[in-house]
Amino acid sequence: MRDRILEILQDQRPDIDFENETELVSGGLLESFDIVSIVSELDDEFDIEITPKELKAENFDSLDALTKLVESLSEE
Amino acid sequence: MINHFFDFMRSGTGVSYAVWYYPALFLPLVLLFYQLIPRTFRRYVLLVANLLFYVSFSGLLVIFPFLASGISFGAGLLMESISGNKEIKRKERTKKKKQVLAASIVLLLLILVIMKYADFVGLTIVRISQAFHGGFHWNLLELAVPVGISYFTLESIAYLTDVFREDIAAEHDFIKLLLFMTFFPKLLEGPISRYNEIADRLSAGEPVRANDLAVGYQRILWGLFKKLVIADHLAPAVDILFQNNIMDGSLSLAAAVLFTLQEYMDFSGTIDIVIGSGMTLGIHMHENFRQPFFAKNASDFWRRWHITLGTFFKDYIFYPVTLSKPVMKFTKKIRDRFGKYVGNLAAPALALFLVWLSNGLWHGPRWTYIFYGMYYFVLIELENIVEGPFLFLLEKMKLKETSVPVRVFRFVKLFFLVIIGEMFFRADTFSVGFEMFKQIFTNFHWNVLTDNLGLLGMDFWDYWTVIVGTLVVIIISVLKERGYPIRATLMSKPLVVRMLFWYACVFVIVLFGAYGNGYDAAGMIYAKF
Repeated sequence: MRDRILEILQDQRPDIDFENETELVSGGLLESFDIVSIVSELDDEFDIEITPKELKAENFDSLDALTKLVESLSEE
Repeated sequence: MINHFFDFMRSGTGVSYAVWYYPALFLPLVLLFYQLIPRTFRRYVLLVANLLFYVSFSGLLVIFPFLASGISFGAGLLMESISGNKEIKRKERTKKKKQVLAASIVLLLLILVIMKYADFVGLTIVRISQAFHGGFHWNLLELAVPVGISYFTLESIAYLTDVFREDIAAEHDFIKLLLFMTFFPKLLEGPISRYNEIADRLSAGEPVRANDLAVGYQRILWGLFKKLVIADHLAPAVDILFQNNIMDGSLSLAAAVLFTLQEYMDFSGTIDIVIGSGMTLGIHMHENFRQPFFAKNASDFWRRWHITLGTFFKDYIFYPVTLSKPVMKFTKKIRDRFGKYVGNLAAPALALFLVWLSNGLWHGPRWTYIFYGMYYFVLIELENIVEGPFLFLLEKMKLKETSVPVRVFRFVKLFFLVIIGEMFFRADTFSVGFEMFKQIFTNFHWNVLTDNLGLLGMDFWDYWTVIVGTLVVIIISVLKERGYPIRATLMSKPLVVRMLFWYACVFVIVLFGAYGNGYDAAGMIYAKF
């Protein structure tokens, strides 16, 4: 799952080092347009529904946090 | 002195932040009473200060923040009780909560629309009816707008949405909610604050600390400098230029540049005073500006200018709309059909349109403001389309994004776009704005501007004060953008040096600030929105 998420992220923003970056949103690297695209791809790929409630920096700041979010939503 | 203060209260002029008795009398008195009173009662001192401050502007209209707080309080508790009712299914609970949220937001917006936009809506209907030869009439209501209503309405909406999302718990203490909604420093111009950011601290009655007091007043001084030394000196020139604007393109351009400068110094300076006032009480409100003119494009500009308005729209309009089921379905369709690039651009367009329409309307009931919103909507959409090809072109030209020519190009482009936007924003009507814009390209003579410099209500020293003041702000902004620890460096100097520095600052503000001559320092640009 992590690898597939990484692929989606890199596809959206090839210029960002997603493996090591831990402030993707709070550091202003990902913009709202990126986030919307990423969310719609993740929803499709993993058959989940990410809602505005989940769009917090803590869920999107790193690849690991995002993987955790997708995992928890997939379980529901 | 006290009589003077109450005269202002009766006249409804209010205790504006940049008038001497705010930093020198009102705030110190609040802090003094606050400190002298036992901790459990301190929040009531703040509440009284908030209400006095409110009444000084809007008199009995003080019922409106009570009303907004009451609606937020009731709807918040209702949503909480629905959440706690495990007898109904989760889906049903969410549905019911959604209904409460929607009803309370509609009610809040309805109050806002009636108080602020009634005549605008009425006259618009008259125009439409005339176009269809109808006979609709509208008697102007000319309602007095309760001060700060645009701010506390948005704060109420944010509070309720956060309670709905269970990001925060519903407040059970009405006084605490009212304290938040009416907190006097942020009442007139924001920053639009989130409940969980400051409410606890506001109500806690923590003692005033010497260091907070010093840091807060330093920030206030910086704000007074921007507002009184720069913005208020420009005010007469801007007024004159926008009254007699259509003579020459050079005057239009000067009007655009000077108004942008005035507005930035006025609004960001006031926000410095606001944030500094909060700091004296140990309350840290969200920053509202971050060197906006260093932005790389228009969307970046709006992440640095009036930040809290932008994040409000992002969190409560942009994301909910783009992530709503119908829009997500539409996105997927477009993406499947036209590919990812088009899909990613087209899908958020609807949400972006709503964001910028709201931004324009939020500023007030005027077509020029709606145009201003639409102007940025188009700019940001264009940017999104052009950004990819632009980066490709840079790569071909072997130029880095961070190289000097690219940065200069971006700065000049953005600066021009921003001043044009501000020119339309400030112009009395759209057609005046458009005429001014046209003149820049069709009827431009530098000598008209240089010949008229003496007629703009500013003398030789006013110009020099503004130029030097602006240079100081630019230098500080460059240092901040580069992350230079300005305050820490200053604080590391010996006490004598620091004291001398702050005395000099007070001296500069007193000596070079624009006062007198009937000029009304109370007129803060963003307080009217």
